[in-house]
Order: sequence, then structure tokens, then C-alpha cells
Amino acid sequence: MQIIVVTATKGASVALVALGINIIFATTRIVNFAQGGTIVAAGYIAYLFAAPDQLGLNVWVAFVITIVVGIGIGVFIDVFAIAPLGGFNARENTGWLVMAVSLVLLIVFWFVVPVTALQILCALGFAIGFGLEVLRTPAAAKFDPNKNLGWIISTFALGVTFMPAIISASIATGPQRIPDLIPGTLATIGGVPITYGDLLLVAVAVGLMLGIELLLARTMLGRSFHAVSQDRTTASLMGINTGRIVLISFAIAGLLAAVTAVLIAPTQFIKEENSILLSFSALIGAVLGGLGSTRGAIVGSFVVVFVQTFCATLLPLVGFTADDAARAGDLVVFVGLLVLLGVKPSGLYGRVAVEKV
Amino acid sequence: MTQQQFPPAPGWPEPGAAPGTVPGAHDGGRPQPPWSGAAVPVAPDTASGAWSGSATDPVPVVAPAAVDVIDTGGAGAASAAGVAADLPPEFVSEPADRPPAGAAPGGEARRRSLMPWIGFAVFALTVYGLWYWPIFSYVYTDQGRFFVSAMIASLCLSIAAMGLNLVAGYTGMLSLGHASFVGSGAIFMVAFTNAGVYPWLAMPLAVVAGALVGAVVAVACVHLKGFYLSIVTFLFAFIVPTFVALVTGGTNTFTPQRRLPGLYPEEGLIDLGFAPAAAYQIRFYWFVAFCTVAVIALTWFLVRSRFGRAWQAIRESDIAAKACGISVYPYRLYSFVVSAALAAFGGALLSQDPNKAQVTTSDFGFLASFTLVFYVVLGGLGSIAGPLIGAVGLGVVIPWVFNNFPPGNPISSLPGATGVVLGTLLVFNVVLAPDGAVGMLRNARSRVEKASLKRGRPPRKPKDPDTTDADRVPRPRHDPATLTGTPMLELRAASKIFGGLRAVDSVDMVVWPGNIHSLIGPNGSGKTTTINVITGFYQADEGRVLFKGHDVTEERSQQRAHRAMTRTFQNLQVWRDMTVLQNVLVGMTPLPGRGGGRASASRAFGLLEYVGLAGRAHDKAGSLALAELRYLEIARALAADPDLLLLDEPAAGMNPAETHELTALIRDVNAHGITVLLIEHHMDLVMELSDSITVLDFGRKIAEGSPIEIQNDPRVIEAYLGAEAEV
Repeated sequence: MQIIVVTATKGASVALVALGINIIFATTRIVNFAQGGTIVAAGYIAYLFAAPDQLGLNVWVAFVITIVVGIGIGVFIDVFAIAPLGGFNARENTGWLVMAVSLVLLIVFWFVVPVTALQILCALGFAIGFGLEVLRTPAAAKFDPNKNLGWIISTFALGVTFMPAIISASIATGPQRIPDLIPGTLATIGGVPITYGDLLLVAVAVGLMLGIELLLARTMLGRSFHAVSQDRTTASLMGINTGRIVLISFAIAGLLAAVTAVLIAPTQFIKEENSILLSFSALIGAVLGGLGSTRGAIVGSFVVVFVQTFCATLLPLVGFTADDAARAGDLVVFVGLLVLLGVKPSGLYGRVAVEKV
Repeated sequence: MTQQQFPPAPGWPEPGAAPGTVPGAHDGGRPQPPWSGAAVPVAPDTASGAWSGSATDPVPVVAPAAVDVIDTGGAGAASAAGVAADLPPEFVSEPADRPPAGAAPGGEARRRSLMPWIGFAVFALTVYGLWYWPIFSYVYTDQGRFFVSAMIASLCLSIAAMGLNLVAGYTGMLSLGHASFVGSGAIFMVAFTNAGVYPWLAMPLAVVAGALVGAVVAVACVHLKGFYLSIVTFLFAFIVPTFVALVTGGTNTFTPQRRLPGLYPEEGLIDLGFAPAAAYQIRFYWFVAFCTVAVIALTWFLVRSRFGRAWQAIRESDIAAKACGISVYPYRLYSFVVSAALAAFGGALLSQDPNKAQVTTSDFGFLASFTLVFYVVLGGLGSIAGPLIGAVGLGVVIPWVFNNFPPGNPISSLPGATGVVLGTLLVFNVVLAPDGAVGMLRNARSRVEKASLKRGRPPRKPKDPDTTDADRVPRPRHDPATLTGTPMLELRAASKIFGGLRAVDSVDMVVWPGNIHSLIGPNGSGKTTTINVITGFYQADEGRVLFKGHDVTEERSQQRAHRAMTRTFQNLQVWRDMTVLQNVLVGMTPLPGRGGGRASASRAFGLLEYVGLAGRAHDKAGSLALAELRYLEIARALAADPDLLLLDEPAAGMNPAETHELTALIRDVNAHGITVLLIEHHMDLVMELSDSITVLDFGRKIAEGSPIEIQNDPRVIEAYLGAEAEV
């Protein structure tokens, strides 16, 4: 019973993260290492607004604010760290330059000569630059992700270095919690409590997954997504603004991160390590299912979480310590992934690229 | 079926020989290729100066006589480049105030000969400074102590980063888990020494053990494409600490009981609670610096060796690599194992770092792997010096700045500031300098060169290899006369089936030695599929493929290349980031007993002279025009001394004049005894060249015979020529 409940709740959150990684991979062929960082940032922002010892707003209000901020973070990652890669041009990317200069000045007026008024001014300048760059809807970055590895550095630098640091410098450090969205427990089955929070998490996750599937399958926007993910050049020749599609994919990823952060915050602590573990599982899930396939990401995530939970729950019964059981679970997942990739090199649902000679 | 007479080869046209009668205008300033035998004066102008004229005489003077164009070939560039050409361009920086070319030849030569000395002096001073400065500063200042300890760690990691650069930069496999090999090296080193192995012996053992770990990972992931490989290596790095903990029963920390004797004079146990004396630190720093230089030299040679060229070829296009006889999987495997060995070496050194009391697995998790990627990318992916520059920049310079700036309130003392500043800097770096520090240096150099080109000074070029007459002609591995009676190539009811579609439907075909045999048919009739079945890119589903009497049906494309069957591609498969000369050098892979060296370079350059690309030998292949790329593919295919050359639509995209030149080239190649199988849509070219023709339609052979027979065959006219209305 515990296995089912944990698989459902944890699997749902992992699948949400995997979806975010996946949608960005589909449009850009890069893996967004900042997804974990976005969850951390969104979690702390929810904490800032919702925690009783902070601003103390209603949790649902905080939820909405966090979603907006999460989308903003996603767009920011694209505009600041992905879109200008490989094709930076000082004349076109004026918005980026404004962002960069205000960021440098902000750092100076924050850490070196702390002046609040100037900080606000710099933040304003940053926002203006951000707006300029978003409105410009830049063309999607023209770089070969296998040759120009700048994206690894920029997403990692933002997600693992920049965002946690700026949060710890401005909001809080250490593990934090926020109040439950819906307090209370529905039932206790076999000694395992099923909270309303768990239900909400699973329900929201399923809803979002269905929504994204429908979006991709039924709408013009979804068709544009598919076009961009198959062949970006042809898509742009067909009049699709590839830059905007990429931007939207980052926005959706940001939204997913924010939702995940708020939904898991009441049960798990908001802290960096948790998000890293979450993104680790999500990454395996996405690869297992086949990068670029929505269905694959969901199935893969649940499989991964199930195996991990299975090992972590059952192995202690045969004499393993809890730590060792968790480790063994990770190992089993990893070996399973290797075997699967040996048989199907592009994952469960991955498209097999046919090479034309 | 007419057997061509041999040897009709006219041989190499003598310089200044009577001009042949090759018709066709040579427009666009295209250099006169030697095989055409004609002598039309070519006027190299500055606009297309880089390559117009096979004599790369850099000074735009009066057009040399046509005889000179042929005669000097590549040698002209060598003499013109003068003294400086003897030096690799990296070591000669462009002086800003050089007098105009040709103004004072003597003075220029003297100036140029001074540059290397100045460079050497700077180099010597740097070495002297890095060597002796730590001694004084270490003893007297905190800064010196910081410098030495940071340098030791950075240099150890730079060695590992050089390993990563081999796979990520040169072979095109992005490993995100290289820190696990660093960790393996370190842990094995400590484990071996603690088990009583003499430390200097333990180090190579640790490297071998690390390479073995690398081999295991490589077998698991080298077959994966693109990012799947990165993810598997990434997960591997994530899992290693877990694995070690499982194996050792929860131990994640390894304390070396004994350090390298010699560097540490005391034998036996060292009390690590007691800070080692300055002398040990400095000695170890020297030792690590020496190792770094040695590894740089090793990678330098490796990258320029046959292996390095094969790796780069695989990175750029594994299809072309296979066609050139390179077995992709083993080369990728070697690359990964060598790379893991270097990483393990860096780790073994790191475990001896005097500032580290112990080795902890968490030091080698995925964060460390990303750090290595940062070093490589920020320094310059795919460049020799990049990892070193990246490691010292990120590992020594940045921490030093953070610890000292701003004075009195350094960044590193403020919560969060380090991360914010570092993250910002990293993003700025990849956006503003996408090719890393080395890329910035290269851009600066090419800007200087461009500026001097504007002022009439040509860029310095590497020296062209000397060639002999034999280097400048195609030569088959076997004289076709010795193969009489055996077909060069035979298809017996060969079929290729895609799903329900029989793309090639039991085709019988025989190509006789010494012939030019053409394969024609309407679009989608299965011509290219047939070529792929012949060359082994597709395995025939039914029937047999015989080459020189051997059944090669089951052989892979690289094995068939080794049997002296080479090809060109309809959709060009050129290694664009490699130079034209390197492209041809890789083409020599199937030659028996060819391991690079001067002779190979001469042969490759000779073939470029043969197809008329000698003037562009040192340019990146990606900068060539379409027709030139087709000639480059032919030169590359000829480099393997093929018996059978398959040309897949060589004239596609060429204008009539270029097609005419190509006709002459194919005829000359054939005249040297190379059997040619030609796929082409240009009917005049096919009819002019072919000894025999096979016509395909919907995957079936509908006709075969001499050009005259084919032109009059009603089925062909119906299926093909009737539709296109032109013969």
C-alpha cells in the first residue's frame, strides 16, 4: 500500500519535472539543468509569500503568484541564457545588454556598495531589458547543441549557481515549509495516511499532463511545437516563429516547476537537495521514456519512482539499512536504464532518427 | 561489353607541354586543374585571392604564365612564405607595424626571424616566473600559499579536463561524468598505496584501473547517439558514490597512508594533521606542472596522429568516416578509454595533493563532472590549450579575485555573492565568447590577419608538403589488367527492401575492370540505394555482392573500403571543420601500413594538386564552394588508391563548364586504371564517358548495354528519356 501511495505522489511530482525537461528538449534539443533550480526558487518564493513568519498571504494567493513568477523564471532562462547563444549580436540583443548591465550594477549596489534606491533602479532597468528582449521574441538560438556546449554552462550556472545563491542572499536559506493548500487527511488505509495534499498533487499532475497532451495534439500551437521539434529550419520556413515556440516551451516548463514546488512544499521541505534528487529521477524518467516524447516522460517517471520506492520499501525487510536500500534502488534504476538503452537506444517512446546516406 | 585497352594512361602532363584540346570555358577564375591538360592563363585577383591559382603566390602581382601555375603547384607558396613558413603559425604573432609586402624583402625576413626569439623570450620568462616565483612568495606571503595550493588542484584537474576534451571536443561525445574517472584514479591510487604497493608503481596501476572503469562505461554508452550518451555518463557520475558506498560498506572517505616518495622525503606514515612543509608543496607543484606539460604534448601528438584525425572525422560525419574505412565504434571506444585514463591520471595526482588530507567520493560527484565541462568549454572546446586555460582561470584566477576583491569586503565573505557573481560571469562568458578563451584569441588573430590582408599583406600559410610526380596521379591498388576474367563488381539478384517497398529489386549487374560503368534511371529508381548496397551502407536483403571475386555481401562499409572500394556522396559528406588536406589524409585510412607522416602528406597534397584544390589545402573544408567540395570528395576517395570508385551524382549542382571539367577529370581517373561506377543525371556526361550503362526503374533493371544501345532502347525511352525528352 505504501508503495502505491508513494509511487503515485512522488511519481506525479517527478513526472511534472520530467515533462518540463522534456518540452524544452523537444523544441531546443537541450536538457535544461536549471529545472531543479527553478523549483528551488519557486519554492522559496512561495515560502516568502505564504509562510506565517514571512508575508503570510493566503496559500492559494501565494500559489498563483508563484506560478506567475515561475513562468517568468522560465522565460528569463530562455531569454538570458539560451536564446543569445551562438548568435549574440550587440545591435539586435539590446535588451540582453540592458539586462546584463543592470545585473552587474545590481550586484555592485547590492554586495559592494549597498544602496537600496540604486538597487531598485537597477532592478527596474533589468525588468525593462527583460521586457525588450521578450517583446522582440528573438529567433531561436542557432547552435548545434552537440558542438556548442554553452547551454550546459548557462543552464547549470543559472540553475545551480545563480538562482539558489540569489535566493539565499535575498529570501532565506535552509529547509523551509509552507502551510498545506488543503489541510487534513482523507483516510488512512493500511496504516498509510492519504492526505488531501497528496490527492491534490496527483489530481493537478494528471490534469496538467492531460492538458499538455491536448495542447500538443489538438491545437495549432501544438502542431507548431511538433514542427519545431522535428525540424526547426523547415518550421521557420513555414512561417512559424521558432523563437516564440521555444519561449513558450520555457514558460510551460517554468509553470510546471512552480506547480511542483508549491504542491510538494507542504509535505517535503523546500531545499536544494530535494530538488536535485527530484530532477535526477526526472531526468532518468525522461531518458527512459525517450527524450522528446511527452507520454514517454510520464511513463518513464512513474517506472523510475516505482522501482526506487519498491527497493526502498522492501529491501529493509531483508536486512538492508535504509540508506543502502535507497542506493540499491538507484543502482537498479541505472542498470535497468543501461539495459533498455542497449536494446532501444532512444528510450521507450523515442523517435529513431533515420540517417540518410 | 567492351574491355578498355590498357595502359592508355597519358601520364602526368609535363609542365609546359602542348596544350590539350579540352574544350569548355574556365570561367570564374577557377584554377586550371592539371589533369585537363589545357593551359589558360589564370589571373589571380585579390578578391578571390585566397585560392585563385594553384600557385598560392600571396602577392597580387602580374598574372603568372599558365606554365607557372602548373609548374609551381604548391611549392610556390612555400617559397613565397619565406622563412616564417618554417614555424607553426601559432608561435608567430603578427607584428602590427610590418612594412608593406615586397617593400623591403630583406628587412621583412629579418623582422620575421626576430619574432620567434621574442616569443621564446616571453615563454622563457613565463616559465622562469612560474618556476621560481612560488618559492619566494610561498615562503613569505599568503598570496603565494594560495597560488601554489590552487595551482596544484587546478593543474591536476586540467589534466582530467584534457582527457574530457579528447572525447567531447575531438570525438564529439559529451561525457558529463568524467569526474567519476578522476575519482576512480584517486581512490585506486590511495587503495593501492595503502595496500602496500610502492606509490610510484601505484600511480600507473591506478591509471590503468581508471581506464578499465572507463572501458566498462564506454562499452555501455559509446553506441548511444548525441545526448543519450551524455545522460548515461551523467547518471554514472551520480551513481558512483553510491556504488562505492555499497562496495565498501558505507565508506566514502579514503585516507592515504603514504605519499609519493622522493617528493615526500619521509618514508612511511605522514602525520596529516601536521601541515607539510613548504618544500613539499613546491616540489609537488613542480611535478604536477611537469605532468601537465607532458599531457599537453601527448594530446598534441594524439590529435595530429591518425587517431586524432579519425576522431574528428567521426565527430563531423560518421557516414563519411565509414566510407573512408574507419570503424566508428572502436575509434569512439579508444577515445573514451584514453580520455578516462587521462582523467584517472589527474585523479591519481589529485589524491597526492599535499593540501588534501583524504579523498572523498563526494568530491567526484556530478558537480565535479560539470566543473570539468566548464574548464573545457570556457577554455575552448577542441583546442589543446583550452582545458588548461579554463582550469587556471576558474580554479585560480576567479577564486583569487573573489578572495581579494573588493578590498576589505571580499566577495567570498558575503552570503550568496559568490554564486550570483560566478553564475552571471559564466552566462556572460558563454554568450559573449561562445568558443571560449582560445576562440577569442583565434578571433583576435584572424582579425589582425584580415586587417593586414586589407593592407595588401597576405596571411601566412602553413608550408605545403613537397610532392613527387607519383603523388600527383591516381593509382589503383591493382592493375585492372591483372583482373581479366573476374568482374570488378558483380551484383547477383541483389535486393533491398524497406518495409513493403522493394527499393532495389533483384538487380544483376556486372562492372568490368577498367571500365566506366554508369547507373542511370529516373528519380527514385533506386540508384543511390544500389550504391549503398554495393558500398555496404545498407546490407542487401537478398542476393550477393561480389567485389573482385570476393563475396562482400556480409561485410560492412569500412571493410569494403579496405578492399579498395571508395565512394563520393550525393549529399556531400565532407568534414567541414577539418582542413581540405586533413580530409584527404583521412581518406588514406584504408591504405595498408599508412600511419601518417611526411609521405602521406605529400600524397594527399599531390592528389589535391591533381583535382586542382592545392591552393586551398589549408583552408577549412567548410569554406569551399559546392563544385570544390565535389572535387574534394573525389580527391578523398582517390586517396585510398581505390580499384573501384563510385561517384554518386558528382555533377549535381554544377554548371555546364564545371561539368565539362568534371568529365575530363573522370576520364583521366579512369585512364590511370581506376574502374568507375557513375550515377548521374547529366546525360551528355554519361553518354560521353560510359563504356556501359545499366538503367534502373522502380528498383528493377530495365536495360543494359553500350551508350548507343541504351539511347535506342524503347523501354529506356519510355521509362526515362521519353519523360525527360532529352538525350
